[in-house]
Amino acid sequence: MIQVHQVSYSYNELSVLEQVSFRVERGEFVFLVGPSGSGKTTLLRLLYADLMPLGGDLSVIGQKLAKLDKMSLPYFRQKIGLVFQDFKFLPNKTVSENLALPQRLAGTAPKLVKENVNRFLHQMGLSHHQHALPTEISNNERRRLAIARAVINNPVLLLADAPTEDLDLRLSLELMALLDALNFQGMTVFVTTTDRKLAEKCNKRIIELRDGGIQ
Amino acid sequence: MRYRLKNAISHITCAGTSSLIGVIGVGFITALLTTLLLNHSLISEQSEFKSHSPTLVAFLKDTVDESNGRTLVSQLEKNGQILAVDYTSKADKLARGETEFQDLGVLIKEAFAETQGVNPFPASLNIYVDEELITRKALEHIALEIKTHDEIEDVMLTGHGQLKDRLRDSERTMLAGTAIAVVVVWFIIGSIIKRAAVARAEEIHLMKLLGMFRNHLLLPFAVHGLFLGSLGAICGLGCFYGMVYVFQSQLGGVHFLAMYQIILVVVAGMLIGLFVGVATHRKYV
Repeated sequence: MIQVHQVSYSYNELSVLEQVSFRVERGEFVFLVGPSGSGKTTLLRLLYADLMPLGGDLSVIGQKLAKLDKMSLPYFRQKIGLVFQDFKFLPNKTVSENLALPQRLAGTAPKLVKENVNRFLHQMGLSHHQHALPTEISNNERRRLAIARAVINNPVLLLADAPTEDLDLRLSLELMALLDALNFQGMTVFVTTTDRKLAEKCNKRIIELRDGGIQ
Repeated sequence: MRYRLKNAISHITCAGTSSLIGVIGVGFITALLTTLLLNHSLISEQSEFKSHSPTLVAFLKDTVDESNGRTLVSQLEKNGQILAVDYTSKADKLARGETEFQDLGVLIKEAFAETQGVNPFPASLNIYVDEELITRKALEHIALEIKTHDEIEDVMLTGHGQLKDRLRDSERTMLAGTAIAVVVVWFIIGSIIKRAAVARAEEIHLMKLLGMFRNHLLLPFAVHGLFLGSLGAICGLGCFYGMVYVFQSQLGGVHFLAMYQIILVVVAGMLIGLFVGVATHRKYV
């Protein structure tokens, strides 16, 4: 599902990733653990082709990212679910409009979009907030909304950047249970976190990133 | 469709008051361009009205009889730049006096009929040249050349040639004005759509990350351009029409543009807006 081979990246002179290599198989649930500034978000951005590596090869869902062109990039990204660390909601759109966005971008029929949005809002316990703005709901609800938006198009791979950041252990475990359920349905899940204990508690494969390399 | 329309409207509102300023700017340029267009139409109308009158009228001396006059006609017709020469005798001129000089002509005609005195109208040659091919300078040169003949008392340029010159000038001015207007309108609309694109930059980036196809935002950009171009053109025409209507008495009954010209201006505004919208989309999305 994910093949990272000798990937390097740097911001100007500052090297962030050096010769990073690992593999994630289809259906796996993997934690990428590392302290703040270790390059987790950069690696994730490389995986969804927001950045291009300065060296090495990257292959995600069978697609070599170096060979992605402007035409095939949207198709590639529609197969991936993204949960951003800062959520990246459209602040002037309601909860349901934010949730509908990936479906609209994929060209899903309006009637189906409405059905799916209602179903996901119900599943995530956000039905009563459908007309609220993202700034009007709690942090935990925003996280659930971010996950719902990431999976509404039924992607084969879910990339989540620090989804448990600022959450207490109970809520973190609740969220992990939600991701575990998605993984159980066949979705490959790749989560970054600074919390090693949480990753160990979940009893999943852990890849540790430290000082720009895999430990 | 409803989503796409909402998306397009939200895109227009992203530019905030700039869209309104843009409409005013495009309207102002349209009003200026309409002034040139109206001026050109008026000159064109006058030129059309005078198209059957001769370019030059050469008055013959009273001593020249009809046969000498006709000999001069055949001499002048040898000039390659002259299309035709018509001879009008003193008697014909007297007969036409009524139409050419109205009250004064009637008075002269009646006096002549009563007294059979001296006919004050000179015999003349109506000279036609191809004004499309001849410049004002060349026309003046022909006039001077005709004047060198002993039989000629005076040569007069009827003004039709002058109108043609003015028509050519106004055509050139209008072309230059249109080119400048297109550039300025392109700049105005482009700046405003760019502003909307910059305001939506984060949103556009997020949409790209979520798998947006490039053409997804083409419609809002194109609609924004169409909106600015068409509304600006309509406002400009509306304001100009208002001014013409208010100052109609001072302008001497000038008619406003023909319907096809109005449609042309609006369509031009829409097309420029559309092109700018698409170009800005290509650049920023």
